[in-house]
Amino acid sequence: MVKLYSMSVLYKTGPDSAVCLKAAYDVQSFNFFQRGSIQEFMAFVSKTITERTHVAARQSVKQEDYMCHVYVRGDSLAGVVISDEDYPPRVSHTLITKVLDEFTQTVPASSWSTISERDINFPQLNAYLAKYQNPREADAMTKIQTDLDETKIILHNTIEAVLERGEKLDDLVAKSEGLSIQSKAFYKTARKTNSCCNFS
Amino acid sequence: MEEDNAMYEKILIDIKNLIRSDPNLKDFCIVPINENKNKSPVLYEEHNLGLELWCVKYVYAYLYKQLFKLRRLLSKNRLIQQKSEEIDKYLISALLIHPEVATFWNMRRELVEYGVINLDIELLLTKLVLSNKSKSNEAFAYRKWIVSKLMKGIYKHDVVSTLALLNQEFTVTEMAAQNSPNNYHAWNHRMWCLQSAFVKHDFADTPMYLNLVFEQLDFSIRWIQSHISEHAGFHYRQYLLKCVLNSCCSVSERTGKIRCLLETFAHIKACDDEGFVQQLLGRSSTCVNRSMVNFILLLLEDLFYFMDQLNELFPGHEAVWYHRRFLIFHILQIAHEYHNVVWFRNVNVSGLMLNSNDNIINVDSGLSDTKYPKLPKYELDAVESSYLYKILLKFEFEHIQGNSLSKCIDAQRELARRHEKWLHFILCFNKSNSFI
Repeated sequence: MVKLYSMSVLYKTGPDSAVCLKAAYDVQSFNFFQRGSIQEFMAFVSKTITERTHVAARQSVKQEDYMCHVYVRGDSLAGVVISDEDYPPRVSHTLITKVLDEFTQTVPASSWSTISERDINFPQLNAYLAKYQNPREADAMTKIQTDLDETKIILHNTIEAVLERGEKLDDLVAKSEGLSIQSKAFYKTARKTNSCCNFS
Repeated sequence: MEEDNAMYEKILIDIKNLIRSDPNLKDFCIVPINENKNKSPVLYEEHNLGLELWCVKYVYAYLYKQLFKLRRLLSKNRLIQQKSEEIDKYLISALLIHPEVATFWNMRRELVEYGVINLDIELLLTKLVLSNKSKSNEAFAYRKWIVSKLMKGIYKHDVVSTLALLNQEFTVTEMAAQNSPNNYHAWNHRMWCLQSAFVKHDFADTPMYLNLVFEQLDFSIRWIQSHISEHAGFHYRQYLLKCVLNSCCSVSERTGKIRCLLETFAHIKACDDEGFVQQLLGRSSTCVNRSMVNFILLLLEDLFYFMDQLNELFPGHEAVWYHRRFLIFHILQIAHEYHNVVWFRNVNVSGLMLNSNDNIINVDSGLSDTKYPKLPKYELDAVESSYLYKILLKFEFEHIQGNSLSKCIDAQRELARRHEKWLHFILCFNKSNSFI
């Protein structure tokens, strides 16, 4: 499927901490009763990945059928896009650059470290998420943006590869404060159903 | 125990009543909630139905036991009227939880045959089952059975009802295909529905037929653009394109674009589609017929516009290249039929070049220097000397060149290379013929 699930702007406050400044989600394609959990999860993954990406670096992480693209700018402002694996990665990365530029124009850099998610008025994010569901819309934009060097994007094949040595996704999920009890149960069940073919 | 049974009964009745009372239910799912919080596990919000995970195990064990107890009665055809409500209630939940059990579906068939349940409820039930398990073959088989019953009930001239039924099936199959990728059963069901509607109304010679096919062709464009790596979507499109061959109506409003492109390219002038295609193909003893003209022009449009667009936006997707092969193959096939020429191509590939991996590698090294193994010289036949053939040759080799550049991603270059091999060894395309 060619689909964008979420787009978020985060601020990296330290080497391994980040806060979410604004996020937009499209969870319509998921089952109604699971949308809440899935949204929490996307927020969790976006935050975790930003925390583990160095300043001034781009990464793409493939996890099962999903792709997660992250870009942390030199000034610690970060953008994360979660999409389906078929969504062109080139478009995702240009989209992040564009969104971060606009965000900087709307919200002054001096307020990033103090402002909370609720106080930020940046409706363009939702509009972009809807508009660029069709990557053709974005193509005109990507043609102008030729400065994106695709070879510099680090590609990981699982989310575990991004985590620091010794870290386990299961532990991070269990520890997380951003996830509700229901979402954690959801994660465990999904883990169990997806691992039916493993002998371990 | 008694108390538990009462609770299970309550859950089953709740589910049944919700399905009876809300014809707009959208989907059903088992929600992963592991704790019993001492409230009803049946969730219902905004036309969505859910059942909490913790109770599924117990409820299913209970109703399984009950159903097989009742089944003995059903087989002896006793007490059917009195018990039908009860059986219906158990079957609804049993199938929602576990649609793979063919026996349960058969019990429902029996109830339908006795006339105790309504067919609309059956459509809703199968839809809910498919929203949860989109690849359930049993559910699709049952739905087919119901749809053919409904189809039989429609008058031969009542096209409106057929179209309404078709649209309903389209919505359900689209949902099922959306939920799980490469859903063979869903696409198969969709084609079966179209086919049975065609057969019922002898559509082929009415403008109605083409309208329906074109509507679906447009749908398939939208679908493919958002499911680029699924061959299922392309296969549906290929089926629809072949449907065009059955109709002799004019589609000139759709062919303007491609004619415009080819006219400037090959310097052909013609006042109508038939004349245009005839010039493309060259003269022959058989005349061009309408359906063939439509078919060729639509395939060419797919090849020159749709494929180009997809190729640019989604490099490295195999399904796109396979559709390209389909288009070229069928254009050439029909050209050969038109000229009554036997198509010289390597049908028996395995004996020739590609019988083992070693040989493929050898062939590769030959390809890169563009030194092909010499084919015996022969006169160009009618097809090969046609404009169409030359245009195809030129476009395909340009396309391959464009996608083999160093700026393209590796997967795309590899696919381009394979395409070149296919053209050369299967279709016997020869680069030296590619001049106009």
